[in-house]
Amino acid sequence: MSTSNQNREDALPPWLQELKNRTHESEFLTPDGYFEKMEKEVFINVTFPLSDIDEFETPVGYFDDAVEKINAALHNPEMEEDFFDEQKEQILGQIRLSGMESENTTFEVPDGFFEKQKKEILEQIGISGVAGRTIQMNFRYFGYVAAAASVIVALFFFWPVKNSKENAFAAKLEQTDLDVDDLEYFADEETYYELFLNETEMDTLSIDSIGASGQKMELNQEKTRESVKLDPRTGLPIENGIKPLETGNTLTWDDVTDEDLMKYLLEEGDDELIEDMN
Amino acid sequence: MEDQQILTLFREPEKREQAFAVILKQFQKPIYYYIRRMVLSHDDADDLTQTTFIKAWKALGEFRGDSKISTWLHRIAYNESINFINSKKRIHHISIDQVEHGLGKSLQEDVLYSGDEIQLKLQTALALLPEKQKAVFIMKYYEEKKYDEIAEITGTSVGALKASFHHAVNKIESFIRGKH
Repeated sequence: MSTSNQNREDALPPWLQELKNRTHESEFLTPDGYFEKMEKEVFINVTFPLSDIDEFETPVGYFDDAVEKINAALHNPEMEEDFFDEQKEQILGQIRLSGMESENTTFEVPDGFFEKQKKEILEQIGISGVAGRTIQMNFRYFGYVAAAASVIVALFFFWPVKNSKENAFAAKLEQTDLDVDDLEYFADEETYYELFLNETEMDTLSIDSIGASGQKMELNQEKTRESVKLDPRTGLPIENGIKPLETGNTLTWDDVTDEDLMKYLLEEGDDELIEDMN
Repeated sequence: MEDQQILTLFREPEKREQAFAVILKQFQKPIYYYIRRMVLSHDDADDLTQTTFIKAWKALGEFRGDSKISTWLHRIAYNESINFINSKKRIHHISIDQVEHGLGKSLQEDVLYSGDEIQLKLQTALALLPEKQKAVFIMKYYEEKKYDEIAEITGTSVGALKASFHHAVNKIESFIRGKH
């Protein structure tokens, strides 16, 4: 290429050259003495890199016999003996103390004192006749009841309206294939939610890049409950909202626009691909 | 001092620091201003300039001298700036409107910026360009570099650079004329 051609190509368009002539001085200022200071800072950094500086100093030769010291401490028989003796004393002390607290008390009561006292108290507060009857709180039973209640509440929120009108709770429960253990498990709201999300997991590419354009979304039917339609934007059940595309309308790369891809890549942070697209 | 002299000096272990001091003195201003035009803030430019020179110090022993030292330093500075801008974008997700209004305001409030109205417009137009176009424009317009050298710095073909610069100029022109 000739020099004149090269010069012509390197020349700025007239309007830009004019702008450059008008604004020939740099508008970017620096603090006074900045370059001198920066020079020193960079120099200090390369001569004494921060990574080589350790603010916690140790005596000279501190680490030289560290391993020997640790080993000696670990295998010191005197130390082991002391340790076990001390521990034994502590354990025995605790046993003696707990024994004192319970049965080996020096204060004695007449025979049948506690039964008699209980009867008297109950008679005084007007519950005669029920003395001796106790209600056993069965926590497992209580847990089942609570779990079942949670499932009812959950189904109330998540089940499609149409089904909830037609089916009784028992029928619904049957459809879910839940057993007692599941009910217990579902009693914990968070666990239930996690299970639900796992079951409705979808392709992240679809959600991240194409989800915004809405109708291109395809739901993976195999992963969703047959009776519960899911909102592709939230992953939560919907009644009769957005329907999955018909089979055959599967999303292909031809449907993905550069804009979609760029948006996805920006979110995923793949610099090289983004640069190539620029 | 010529590149070759600096490199010869650097190869002598006891004179390495002296050689690096020459490099610093000779190139710190052009490198700083290139980075400053890319990232605009003085503090960011300061950090990136220091990083550029520290990286250069670490890699200078392996520098073969196939290109000029200034080109090599510019290449490090270019990569540092692009990475910085990309990471900032990822964190803040700034919209075009925010760039247009936010940048003008922040530059006006910046005590280390003294541009007039037209310079402010040009900076705003530059901020709206993709990073590569912006980098090419800065090297061509402000630093008056040849395409060949810019190609070495950016690792892009001269043809692609000409296209980039052409696009950048058109976008800046339409932005500035559209506003006036």
